[in-house]
Amino acid sequence: MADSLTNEAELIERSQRSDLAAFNTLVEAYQGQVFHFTLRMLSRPEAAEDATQESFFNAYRNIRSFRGGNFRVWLLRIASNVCHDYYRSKGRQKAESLDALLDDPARQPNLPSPAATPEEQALRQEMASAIATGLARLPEEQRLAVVLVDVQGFSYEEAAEVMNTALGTVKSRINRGRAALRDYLLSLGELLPQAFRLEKGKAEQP
Amino acid sequence: MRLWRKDQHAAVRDSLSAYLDERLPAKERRQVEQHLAACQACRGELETLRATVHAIRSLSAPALPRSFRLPATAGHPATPRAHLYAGALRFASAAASLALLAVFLTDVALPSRQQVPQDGSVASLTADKQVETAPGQESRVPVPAPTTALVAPQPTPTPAPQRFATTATPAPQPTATGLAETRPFAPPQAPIAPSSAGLAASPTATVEPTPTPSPSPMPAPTPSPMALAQDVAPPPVTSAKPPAQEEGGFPWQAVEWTLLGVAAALAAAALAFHMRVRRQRR
Repeated sequence: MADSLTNEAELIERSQRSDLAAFNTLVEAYQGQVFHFTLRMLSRPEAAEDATQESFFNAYRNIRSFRGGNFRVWLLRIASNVCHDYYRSKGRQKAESLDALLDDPARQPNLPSPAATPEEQALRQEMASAIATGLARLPEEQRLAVVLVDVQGFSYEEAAEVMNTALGTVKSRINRGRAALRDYLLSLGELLPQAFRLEKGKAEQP
Repeated sequence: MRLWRKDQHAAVRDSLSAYLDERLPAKERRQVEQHLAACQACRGELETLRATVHAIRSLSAPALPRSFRLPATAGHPATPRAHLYAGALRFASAAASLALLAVFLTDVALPSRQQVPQDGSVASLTADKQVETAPGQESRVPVPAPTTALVAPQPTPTPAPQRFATTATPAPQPTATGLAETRPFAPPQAPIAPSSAGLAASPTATVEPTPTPSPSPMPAPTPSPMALAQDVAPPPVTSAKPPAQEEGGFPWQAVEWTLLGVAAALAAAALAFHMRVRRQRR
């Protein structure tokens, strides 16, 4: 762990000296997280792809203004700015993307977990697309909080740093976002209570 | 079963998310637990919330559509100049303030310096009035005359209030303020000024005889109406107070205008820096 951290610090330092190869090593280490983040934020895979590429471009351009601290937080802050700009400039596509999601759940690329039975896989797939749609319906700030904490696994403190807000604000956004998402999932009907039971049973088993 | 106040449910539900994440202070956590032990509805809320969080967390990472490695054409990282800009911003605004202060101070100092030519200008003022009243048949002539009378003495005794006004506004472009300030007076005057220059060469001509100093036979009469229409009329100043200039030997007004220009430029630069820094930080 410490080794990988010093390695990261070294890669950052080399990137700051215009070493593109070093930066691309960082890209490879973080592109999965950044793409997952932008996908949950923007809903549309094509948009997420553009936003991910733009985030890494911006990160490289501004790598010299990174002065220590948590690189992942710094990177996702850039990505959340890119997503925010995307929203502002292409706000109209939001409704459109929601329709697209509802029409075509297969647009959400998800890796099936290897141990799942076909029924479980189908249920997971359905659940995943329901969650994606539910996230897309949240106000941007609540979605950002939920995505950071629950999808990316950030601590409240890290999320507050990415969002540049107070800890209390993060807490209330997460609370409201989760509650709204829960209400949406429950509103979908019979399917989801079943899914809830499945997930809950799994959660309690170990 | 106990009866709960409505807002207690609401308060507990607001804390459920933090409770799940074990981010509640011990005291609040105990309160929530006590409430949950007795309130089935809130327990239900907690369970569905827990299931939701679990469902979000179990979202698998999407397959990467491609690699996001930057191409060799990505160029170089930019040198972070935000802090440099901030320094420049501080410098520019400080310098602008100093320049404005200098203008203000010279303004305060100037009136005492200009008392000598004041009599001359007063004489010209009275002369103006006499000339006005003489050809008073035309209804239009009085109109330009008061305005010229108002502005004509300005160069000598009243540049100070004029320029106080400019210093009050935080250094916009000097030419713009000059225009903006003369405008309130100007509208009646501007269109008529040429006619007054043509018609009544007398009020302008009076300027020439009255400045008794008149060491240099400058063509002062013509610039005065022209300059009035355009600007605050620096030319009349030079024509009106050659003695002051020869005594003081220092072109205060030129210095002031230069300083004002510098201040305006600095303020504009500071504003530009500010916008740029803000854009970068967003």
